[in-house]
Amino acid sequence: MDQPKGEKPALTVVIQSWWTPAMAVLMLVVGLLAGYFGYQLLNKSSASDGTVAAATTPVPTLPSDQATVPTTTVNPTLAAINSQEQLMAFLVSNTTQFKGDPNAKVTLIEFSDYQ
Amino acid sequence: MRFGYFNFAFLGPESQWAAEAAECAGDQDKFWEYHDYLFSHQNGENQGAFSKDNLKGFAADMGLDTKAFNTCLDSGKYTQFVQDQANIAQQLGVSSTPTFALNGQPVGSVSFDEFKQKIDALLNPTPLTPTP
Repeated sequence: MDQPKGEKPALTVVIQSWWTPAMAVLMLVVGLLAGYFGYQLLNKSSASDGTVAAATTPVPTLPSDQATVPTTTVNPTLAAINSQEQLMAFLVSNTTQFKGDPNAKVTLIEFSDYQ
Repeated sequence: MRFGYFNFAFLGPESQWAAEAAECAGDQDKFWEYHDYLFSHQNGENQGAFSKDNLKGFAADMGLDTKAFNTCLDSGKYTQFVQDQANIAQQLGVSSTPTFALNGQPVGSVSFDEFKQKIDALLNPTPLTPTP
């Protein structure tokens, strides 16, 4: 291969035959396609969680006034929670120790450690 | 107003044991008494203040049924429950204590006045646009 004399170029691409640039273009296209479709596959579970959960498990919709009812049967998975009402219902259903009025409009839950 | 306690035992074994012990006291309807007793007997972290023996001693001091309490604590009746709660808290992004959920709205350590404002807002809601 002939190299120009004197100053070396910063980058030399040695083209051995016609398929070298063709391969580069092909790999670029394959990479783009893999990224585009692979990303969707990877995120399939989390991206469409709401619809999948709604389709497969009979999670009832939660009226907002149910949020402070202690005996709620709604126990959505954490990922499916998308409102404060749902979060509160979930927390309430996972909390055993309460004091105060069970039908109060305001529920305060403390996360704490004894140490 | 209703107040709930959610275990976020993340400071080591004595945190876990103390949380389990309080739940065991809850079996005898003495959760909040035991909870207060624990907070008034803190003494360093994982240095024996909340060893299982001390936790049993607290129960005896408070006049609980020690046999039932000790069985509950030794059997690990609430081990999984306390761990599950800690996991939930962690997944929700709780990283310090105390953290509060006020009708599902996360609240950190804020001043009494800020708390009062938030609670008053919930009790006397101004017309709000629905949250997305």
